[in-house]
Amino acid sequence: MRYVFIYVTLLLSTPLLGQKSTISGYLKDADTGESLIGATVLHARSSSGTSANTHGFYSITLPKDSVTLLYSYVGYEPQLVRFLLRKDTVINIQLKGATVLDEVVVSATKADAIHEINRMSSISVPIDQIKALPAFLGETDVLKVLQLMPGVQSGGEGGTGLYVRGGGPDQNLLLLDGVPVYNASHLFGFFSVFNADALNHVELIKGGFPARYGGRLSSVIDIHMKDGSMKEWKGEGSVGIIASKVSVEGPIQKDRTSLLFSARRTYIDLLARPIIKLATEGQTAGYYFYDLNFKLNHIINDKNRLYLSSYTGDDKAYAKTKDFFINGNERTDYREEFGLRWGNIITAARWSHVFSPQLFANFTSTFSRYRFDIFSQYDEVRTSPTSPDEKNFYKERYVSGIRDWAMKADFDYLPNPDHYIRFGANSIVHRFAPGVYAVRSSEEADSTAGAAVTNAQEFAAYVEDDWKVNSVLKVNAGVHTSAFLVENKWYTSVQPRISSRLLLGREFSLKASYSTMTQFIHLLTNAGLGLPTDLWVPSTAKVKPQQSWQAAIGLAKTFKDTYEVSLEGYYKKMTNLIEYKDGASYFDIEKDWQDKVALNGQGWSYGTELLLQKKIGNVTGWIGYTLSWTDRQFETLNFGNRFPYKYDNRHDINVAFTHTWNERMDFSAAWVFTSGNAVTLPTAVYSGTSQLPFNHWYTPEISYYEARNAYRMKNYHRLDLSFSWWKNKKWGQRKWTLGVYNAYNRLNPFFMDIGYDRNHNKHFIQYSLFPIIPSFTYSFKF
Amino acid sequence: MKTPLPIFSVLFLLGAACETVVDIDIPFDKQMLVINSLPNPDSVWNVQVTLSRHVLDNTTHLMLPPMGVVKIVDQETEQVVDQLTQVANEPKMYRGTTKPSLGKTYRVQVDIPGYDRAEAIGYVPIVTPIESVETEQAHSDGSTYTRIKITFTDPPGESFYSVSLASSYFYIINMKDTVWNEYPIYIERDDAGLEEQGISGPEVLIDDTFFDGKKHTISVRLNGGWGGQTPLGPNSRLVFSSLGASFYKYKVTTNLQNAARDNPFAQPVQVFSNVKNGVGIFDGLSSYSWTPPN
Repeated sequence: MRYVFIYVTLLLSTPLLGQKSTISGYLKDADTGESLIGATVLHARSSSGTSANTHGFYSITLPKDSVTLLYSYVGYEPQLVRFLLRKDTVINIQLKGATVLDEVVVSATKADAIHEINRMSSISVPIDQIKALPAFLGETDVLKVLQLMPGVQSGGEGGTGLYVRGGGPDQNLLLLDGVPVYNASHLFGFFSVFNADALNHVELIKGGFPARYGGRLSSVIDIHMKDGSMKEWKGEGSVGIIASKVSVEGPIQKDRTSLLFSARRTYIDLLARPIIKLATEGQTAGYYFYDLNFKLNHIINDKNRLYLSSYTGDDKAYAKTKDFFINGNERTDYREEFGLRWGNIITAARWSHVFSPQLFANFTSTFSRYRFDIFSQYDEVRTSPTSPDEKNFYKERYVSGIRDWAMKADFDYLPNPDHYIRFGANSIVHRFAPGVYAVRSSEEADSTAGAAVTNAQEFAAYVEDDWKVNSVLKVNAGVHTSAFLVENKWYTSVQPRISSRLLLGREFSLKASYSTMTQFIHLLTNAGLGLPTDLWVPSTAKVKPQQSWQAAIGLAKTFKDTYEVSLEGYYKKMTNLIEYKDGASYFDIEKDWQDKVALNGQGWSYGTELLLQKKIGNVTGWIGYTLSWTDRQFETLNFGNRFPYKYDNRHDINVAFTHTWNERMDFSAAWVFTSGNAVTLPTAVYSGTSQLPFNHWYTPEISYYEARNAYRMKNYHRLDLSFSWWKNKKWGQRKWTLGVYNAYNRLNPFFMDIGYDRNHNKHFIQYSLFPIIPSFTYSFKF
Repeated sequence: MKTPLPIFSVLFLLGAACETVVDIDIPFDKQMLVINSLPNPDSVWNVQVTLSRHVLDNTTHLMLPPMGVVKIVDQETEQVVDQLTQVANEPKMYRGTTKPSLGKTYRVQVDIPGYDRAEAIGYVPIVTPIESVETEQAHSDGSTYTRIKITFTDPPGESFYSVSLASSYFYIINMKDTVWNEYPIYIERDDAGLEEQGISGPEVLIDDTFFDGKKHTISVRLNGGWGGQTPLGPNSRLVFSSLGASFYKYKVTTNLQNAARDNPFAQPVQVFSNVKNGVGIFDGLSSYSWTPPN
C-alpha cells in the first residue's frame, strides 16, 4: 500500500517537478470536423507520444523547449508543428484526408503501429474499409466485417452473431456511443442494427481488456457514431434491392453545433404486399425493419462540449386479415392480426469537460431498451337489426425485454508522456422482463403469467494506467471493480487487468496480457439460432454471475511500414455459465426461466490466431487464421461429461482485400472458411420400455445420442465479390456497386435433420439458406 | 418498372436453395444390445433383449440377437437367483420363475454370442403406501379442475416416485367374453413453487429432495373435472409407485426426449441408460394402488 501511495504521489506531482508544460487540444478531420479517434501525436526528439481519445482529445506534457510534434492518422496527411513551448498550450489540429494511402502518409503513423501499441487482441477497422468490402444483399454491415477477423466466428449462415474466442453471443459488450446494445440484429440476425453511414469508429477487443470496460466476458465492440460535420451540410445514401438509407449531417452553427441524422428502411413488405394479397385472397402479411440515428454535437467553448445521441430501430413481421360473414340476421365484421416486433432504443447525453490540459472528463447519462413482443389480436363487431351491436375482442401478448438507465463519469489524466491514466465509475439500473404472457378479452378477466419483472442495480469503478516504463517496455495495468444487487443479494467482483509490450528489436515486439471479467447478466438462447426470442436475464440468488479469466501471449511485427503481422495464443476459462436444460423450450411459458436452465457450467477456450494485414497501397486487406478449441461442462448436461461447444470451429480462415484500380473503380473480395459447427445427432434407435405401471400401452422408440455435440456439420466456405465504380457529378458523387454473395454457390449447412431421399431411404438432410445471390446498390454523396 | 426484377431473381434463388442429402460419418458399428427390465415384486423376472438399429435403418421392426443366457444375480451375495428362459412365442422376452424381493439390489447378466456381457444393476424399492387421498375442486385462470391430494410418509434416504391414474373399461368379445382394460388419465403437478420433473403427461414424477424422511402431501391436478363431480369414480385406480433412481432418470429423460422430438427450438435429449455394454434400463419399481371407496 505504501508503494502505491508513493507511486500516486509521484504521478500527481510530476508536473510540479520541473520545467514542463502541457500541449492539449482536439484532433479533427479538416473537411468535416469529425474526431480522429486514436490519431497519434509524436514528440520527435524523445520519440514519446500520445493518442487522441474517443472524443479526439489529446494531451502531452513536455519540457519547456523547442518542440516538434508530428500529428498523424491512418488515411490522412500528417502535420508537423514546430514551436517554442513556454506554457500550457492548446493546439487544435485538423488533418486532411489522403486519397490513396501512400508510404509517406503511413510512415507517419508509426506510433500507432501494431508492434508499438501495448494493447493486444484488439482490432480497429476503418469505416471506409468496412464500406468497401462485399456486403450481403448490398447492405454494408459492421458486424459481418468483424466476423472476418481471427478469433471471431459468425455462428452460421448469413447471421450477424459474434462468437469471440469461444464465448457466447451474450458475452460481447456492444457499445454504441458508450451505451450497451442488447440485440444488434435485424431480420432474424441477417443484418446488424448499425448503419455504417452514421459511424465514425469501430474497435473490437477480444482479450487483454483495459480496465475501463466491464460487464461481459468475451469481447468489447466499441462503436462510435459520427459527430456530424461542423463545416458544411452534406449527405450520403443508397438504394439497394432490399433497403434504402440516407444520412445527412451539417452545422446548425458553423464550428459550433452540428447535427447528424440517418435513416434506413427495408421495403420487402411494400413490394410484396400486392402479391401476398393475391396469393392469400385478401390477407396482408409482411416484414420490415427500420432504424434511425440522430446526434447533436455542441461546442460550448474550448473546455466544454455537449453531445446528444440516439438510436431507435424496430423489426416487425405481421399478418392481418379483415373480413365479414353473415349468419341469419346477424352480420359479423372481424379483424385478426398476428405479429412479432422487436427493437432497441438507445440514447446518450454526454458532457465533455477539460478540467485542465492534463485532465479530460466525460459525464454521461444513458438509456437503453430492448423489447421483444409477440402479439395476436382478434376484434369483432356483431350487428343485427333486432339487437344492439356487440363488440368482442381477444388479445394475447408475450413480451420480454430489458431496460437500462445508467450514469457514468470517465476521466483521462495525462500527467506526462509516460502515463495515460483513466479512471471512472458508473451505475446502471436494470429492469428485466424475461417473458411475461398477458391475455385480455372482452369475456374473461385479464390475466398474466410467466416470469415476474426483476430490478437490479449494477455499480462499477475502474482505474488504469498506460505506462511507458522505458524505451522497450510498455504496460497497461488496472483494476475494474463491480457490484450487483438483485433480490436483496449482493455480488461483488474485483477484476485485475494487465497487458504489456516488450520491444524485441526494430518493429518487432512481444506482448502478453491477463484479464479477469465478470458478467452479471445472461442471455438464454435457443440452440444458437440467433432469434429475437432470446431472453436477457439477470444473475439472481440462484443463478450466479458468469466469470472468466483469460491469458494471452503474442508477437507483433511490422514489415517495411506496409505489412503488420500478429500471432497470438490465448487460454480462457469461464465459470457459472448457464444453458437451457435438455429439452427445455422457450415456448414453455408456464415455467420460470430459472427452472429451465442448467446452472454453474464451465467453459474452456484456447487457440492461436494469426493476422496479416496490409493497410496501405492500392491493395489493402488482411488474411486471418484461427486454430481453436472450446468446450463446455454442466453437471446436468451430457451426463456431466465435458462436450464441445456448438461453435467449436477448429479452423477458421478469412481473406479480405480491396483493390483500388484507379480513382473511379475498386474491387473487393472476401473468402471465409470455417470448420463445421458441432451438432448433436442420433446414431441409433432402440425400443424403450413401458412407461406406466399398468397396461403397457406405449413403448417409446428412443434415439440414442452418444454425446452432446459429438458430430460436425459440413465445413462452411463462401466467396463474396464486389465491384464499385463511381463518378463525380455537379451535385456530388454517385456510385454503383455490383456484388455477388456466395459467388461459387456453395450450399452451406444451416441445420440438419433426418429425412428421406427420393428413393424413400433415410438420410441426414442438410438445409441451406443462401445460394449465389447477386445484388446491386446505387449510392450517392452530396 | 425495372426494380422488382432483381427482387424476383433473389426470391427465386432463395427458393432454389434448400435441401441437400449429406453423408455424415456416423459409424456403421455393430448393433448394441438393448436390455429392458423393470423388476417389481408382483411379477416374475422379465427381461426384454433386443438390438438397436442404425439411425438411418429403413426398417421399423424389432431386431433380435441370437439366443443367449440371461441371469439374475443377487448383488450382495453374488448368488444367481434366477436363470431366465426365452419365451417361445415372444423371443425378445426372457422369463424367470421367481419374483424379486423388496429392498434388494440385483444385477442382470446377459450373455449373447458375439457380444460382450451386458449387465446392469437395479434396486427394487420398498412400497410406500398412500395414507390418505383427498379431492377438491379448484379454480385457476377461469377454469375448474380437480385437485387430488395424496399423503404418504417418505422413508429416509433418496426416494423417487411416480403418480399415475388409470380408468378401466371393458369390452365383450364374441358376445360372451368380457375383457377389462385400462387407459391412462393425464394428470400434472399442482404444487406451487416445485419444479416439474420432466414433463407433465400420463404421470407425475417426484423426487424427495424437499421432504426426505418426512410425511408429505403432494397435489396433482386433473384438468377439466374428468368424471364430473366425482372424478375418482369406482372404475379409476390411482397408482403410487416407488422407483429406483436409474428408472427415475430414465423416465425423466425419455419424457423429455419425446417432448423435444419435433421441437426445433429444443436441444436434443440424451436418454439415461444404466446398461454396461449396451443400452436400456434395468431398475425396479414397486407400486401401491388406491381405488376410491364405493
